[in-house]
Amino acid sequence: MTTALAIGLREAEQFLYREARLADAFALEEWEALWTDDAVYHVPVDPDADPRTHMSIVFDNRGRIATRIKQLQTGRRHSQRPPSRLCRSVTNVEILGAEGGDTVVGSVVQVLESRDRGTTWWVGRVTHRLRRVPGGDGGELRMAAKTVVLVDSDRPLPTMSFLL
Amino acid sequence: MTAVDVDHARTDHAGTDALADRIRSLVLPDRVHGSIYTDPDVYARELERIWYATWVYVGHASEVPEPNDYVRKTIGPQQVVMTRDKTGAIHVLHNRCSHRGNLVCDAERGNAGSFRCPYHGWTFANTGDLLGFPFNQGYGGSRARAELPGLGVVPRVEAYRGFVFASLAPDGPTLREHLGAAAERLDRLCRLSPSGEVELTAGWVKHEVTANWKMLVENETDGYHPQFVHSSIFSISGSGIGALYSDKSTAVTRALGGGHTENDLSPEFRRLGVPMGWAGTPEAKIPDYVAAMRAAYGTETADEIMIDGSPHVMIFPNLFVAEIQLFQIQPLAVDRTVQHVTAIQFKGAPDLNRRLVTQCVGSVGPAGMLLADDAEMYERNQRGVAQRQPEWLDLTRGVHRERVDDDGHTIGTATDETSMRAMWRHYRELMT
Amino acid sequence: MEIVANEFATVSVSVDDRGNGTRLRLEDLRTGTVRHLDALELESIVWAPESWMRALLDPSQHRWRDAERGPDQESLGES
Repeated sequence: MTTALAIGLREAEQFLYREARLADAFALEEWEALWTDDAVYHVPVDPDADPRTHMSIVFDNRGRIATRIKQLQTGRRHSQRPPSRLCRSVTNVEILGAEGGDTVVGSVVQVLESRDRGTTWWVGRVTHRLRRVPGGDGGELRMAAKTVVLVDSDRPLPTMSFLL
Repeated sequence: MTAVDVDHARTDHAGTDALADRIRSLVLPDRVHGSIYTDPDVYARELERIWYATWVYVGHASEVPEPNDYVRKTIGPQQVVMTRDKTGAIHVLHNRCSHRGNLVCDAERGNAGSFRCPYHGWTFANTGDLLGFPFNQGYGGSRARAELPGLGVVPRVEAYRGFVFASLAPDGPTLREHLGAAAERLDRLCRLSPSGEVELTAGWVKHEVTANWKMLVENETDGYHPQFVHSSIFSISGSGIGALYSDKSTAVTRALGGGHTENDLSPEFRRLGVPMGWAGTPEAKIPDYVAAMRAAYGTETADEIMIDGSPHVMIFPNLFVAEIQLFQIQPLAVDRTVQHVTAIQFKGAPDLNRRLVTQCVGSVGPAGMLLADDAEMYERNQRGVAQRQPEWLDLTRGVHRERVDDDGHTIGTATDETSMRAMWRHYRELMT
Repeated sequence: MEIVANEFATVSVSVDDRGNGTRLRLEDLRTGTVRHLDALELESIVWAPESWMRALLDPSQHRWRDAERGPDQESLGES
């Protein structure tokens, strides 16, 4: 086994920006392809609670990420009909460390969501676990985990059925 | 101290009789007027006549397991604290200092025998009693605490199978009378626990919608919508839920009296005869639970219980048990409502409980694969009823095929609006 | 769990976090009698005047006032 090249800040940023752009544009298949097979997508209510025994806003394994995408693709996901108009910025990107073979990257996301019901500002701290997998020139990045801790995660929240 | 009769004062100013007449003309057996969801005067009266008068679900005893535990809860827009005192008794207190009206409790939950207001340090026991205040010579010494008021105590608090209800009215029907046939549905839920007990220990997701609270109450036992609103998820997940709410289904919609309603899916579950079919979880995946149930009830009874499944019951006005999850409806304004939701947990069934959390999280809340779409419908509906024509909402589905069952309850088919008609009948009685 | 002991009394001290928040759990190991103290009660003890503590140590104020009743039913200073 060869040691994968370390993931640098610039490369991590480029990945995060790309992911944000795909999510904003509902490029569903491309967004889904960014995940590894063991992926976990988590939006907790209480980031200190065990998501297996406590409620979360989103707690998807890879299978459920696929279901979420398929539901959007039916065209009958009413809470996304029409799709939310989205524009998000990703900032404060930092390499926080390593976990297993993955690189842990912290960032802040701010999403402006416009719908018929009004405009909602979603803000949270994001932790990605990025992994280099074979492919392309020198491997490609995938996300093995993404956790978004919304500033107001434990308060009443409006519907949030886009990809955060 | 003299209590001011707020309701009476309002009566004199707003002319409640005129409002009562108006509500009578807006809520008819076969239709309701759109303004019943949008009129602030109607909402103000709902608070006085329903939310601050009848029994309202507040919380579950398992949320305050130890002496001196407390949790913040709500009764409609009212902020309350549910406490367990050191003798084990449960109290519901208004979150308001008796001195200057400040909130006395900030934390969502904690353990404290007393609450100290941050403004001037007045200190109250978790029973509401005033324990004291700083520099008591200003009140002529500590004896003044006997004459000064404590925290507002909600006058009636009763629990059924651990479900704690409260009523701001000092007198009225008992909780058991209020629940009527709905009590048996809570029994049915608790029977699914090998210990006979339900616990609400999974925490809460809070989903806010721009809609009137009655939109939610009606939708909870509306068997007509799932095939449409949830077709996106049914079509890709292979879920059997859709078929339960079809014209071929043997499930029934039932009016339980007192505004309580249910979609009784047990005839379908029995017809299918699959233990745990209602939970979408094969027996083989939860061997510990199945073994614990058979040990507790005997194999035959346990299998019956596991086939029949959990209730789908709306206990008016704010407690909705939907098989594996529990919702608490909280109106904040005429067009704002929070739906608090948690996964039901059965005491002594950790393997099943973990699956219930996972399933519930996938379904409910702001991103839920079911509830996000329900919420979209509430909000679209709220905007729709503000439009001027045709003014009325139709409630006639299934009128011609309603029947009375052996228990004297009115029932319709799985997709009939029997539940809505019953809810509105009860509403009209309370409001006029 | 820690034991605080001398020749007159033996008490175990631990932080109990089974409930919705932490409490101090005190157990008189000679009788098994348990008392929980929350943070505000502990702060109050820290600030209590010496006269209050002296009164607390008067055996006839609580434990040996009435053999039938435990400390919960007693109320210092109102006897």
